[in-house]
Amino acid sequence: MKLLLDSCLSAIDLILSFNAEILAIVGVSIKVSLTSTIIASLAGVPLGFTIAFSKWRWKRTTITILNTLLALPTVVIGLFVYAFISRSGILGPLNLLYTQKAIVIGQVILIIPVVTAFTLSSIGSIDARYRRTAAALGANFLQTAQVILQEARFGIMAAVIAAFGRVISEIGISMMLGGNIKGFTRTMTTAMALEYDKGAFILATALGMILMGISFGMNFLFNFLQGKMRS
Amino acid sequence: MSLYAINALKKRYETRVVLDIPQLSIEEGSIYALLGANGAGKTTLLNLLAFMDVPTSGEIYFRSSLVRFIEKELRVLRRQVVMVDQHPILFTKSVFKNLEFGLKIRGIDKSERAYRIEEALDLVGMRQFMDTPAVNLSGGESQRVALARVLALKPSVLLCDEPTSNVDAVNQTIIIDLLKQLNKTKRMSIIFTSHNSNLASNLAHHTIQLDQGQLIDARKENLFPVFLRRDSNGRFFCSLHTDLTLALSCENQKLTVYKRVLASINPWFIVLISYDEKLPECNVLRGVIRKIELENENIHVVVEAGLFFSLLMTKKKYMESKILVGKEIMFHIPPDKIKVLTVRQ
Repeated sequence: MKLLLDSCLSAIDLILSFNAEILAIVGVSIKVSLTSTIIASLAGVPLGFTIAFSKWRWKRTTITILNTLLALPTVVIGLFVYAFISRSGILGPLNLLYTQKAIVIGQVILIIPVVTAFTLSSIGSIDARYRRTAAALGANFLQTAQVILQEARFGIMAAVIAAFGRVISEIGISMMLGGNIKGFTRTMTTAMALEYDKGAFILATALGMILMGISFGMNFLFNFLQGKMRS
Repeated sequence: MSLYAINALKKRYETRVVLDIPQLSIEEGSIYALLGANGAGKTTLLNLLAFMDVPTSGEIYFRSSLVRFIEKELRVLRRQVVMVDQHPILFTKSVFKNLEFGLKIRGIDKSERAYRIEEALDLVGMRQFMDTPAVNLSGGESQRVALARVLALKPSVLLCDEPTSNVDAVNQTIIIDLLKQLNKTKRMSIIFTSHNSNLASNLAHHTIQLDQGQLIDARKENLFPVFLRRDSNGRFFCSLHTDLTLALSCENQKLTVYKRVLASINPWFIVLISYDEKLPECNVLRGVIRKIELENENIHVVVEAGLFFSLLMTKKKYMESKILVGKEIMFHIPPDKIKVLTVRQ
């Protein structure tokens, strides 16, 4: 208990001193997570929208697969992407392994189902009369889509936040594809794992606190937006 | 000029035929009421006229051009014909933004948009709500804003699905007056659905009566759901409600009793009776005149006798009868003029 308390106090000191190492690790984490969230959102929102609007016969199967992918383990993705970007993989010549790009690729794969499924769900819950009203007022497909996206905006924002929350706290992909290289691919979660292995709890605790703070902020925003959506 | 011409139109949902209209013509510049009970096919027809749905078979001509149900072409038509839903939905934006949507997608410039929005809101008496978030409006206010949203687009045809069914009496009056005004001043063709024959009588120039997806040859006002029964002498009667029973003629007696049917009475055959005249044996009713109006060079009289009955007479006959609004009268419905239209289980 004393160890935890001492670690917490020292961690707070470390955070308040704006330690350069902490800032670098947090910077990498946020940069990588934001990039993957933006890419996944650009792909996942239109995908969710398309599935929600489509009437093809495999729609239900697609949704089931999508929901299954929500629980995809990060280490499975790490392994899968590794097979492609390792030296012997078909993308080996691109030298992506142990770079931030590799982490982004893995994280995008991880959260595209999250963004798609949440978008699909929020668009599905939008009253069908919005679509009909827009069409009755003379809107074309894109203008109607704009109306639906506008009405589902809180749900979509919640999808994006949930996705960011998922990637900022994942470790498997960052470790397997990033390699935990100091100042380059070391993220908060990989640094915490390393510090734990070294028995250096202070930095790990400080990073844990920051991660918890970010997660709390994200969840707070997520719940706020979900509340807005319901009202 | 014919606004719509319908030919062998059918709409089917899976195996169920919900609309089957062999022929129908709707004239430009008039107000039409689509009447019928729930499930009669009114909204289905309105959706087809609004180009919001595709018929299973048949043809619709709009201003003499055959409508091809191709999305791109329908979009062009939807900019002339605009529909207001029974439960209109407003976007979760301000009232102004709601009205601006249709104008924006038509490429109308900003100053013209603002002018049209103010004009439309003035028409429905909602200008003071211009910056109000639409979610804060009441049902009646939403209905009026939905109407304004359509009016700002200056459509040549306005289609309304049950325009007054979900609003209070005050808003009903506002909407009815507005529709009348639009038709009169802007020559806007208006088609609305309703199951309220009084509304149709008050607002529409023409009515289209539907029952189970088919057109019924009947005037709007004198169409009543009735129960058939037979007395101990084998004579048939129809009950319009508990206190109002009319005798039917022999030709209707092939029907089975205790069935719900629709009965239609041709308003030309309802006869006014003077108090000194010998009363017919049956079907003599007393009522109060509620409305007298000129209709296509004839006189249309609405009498309240437990239900509203419409009578039609020539001007000459009207002058002779000396009837006035508010006056109590007696009238006779000849049993052989009560036409049983459909049988419902």
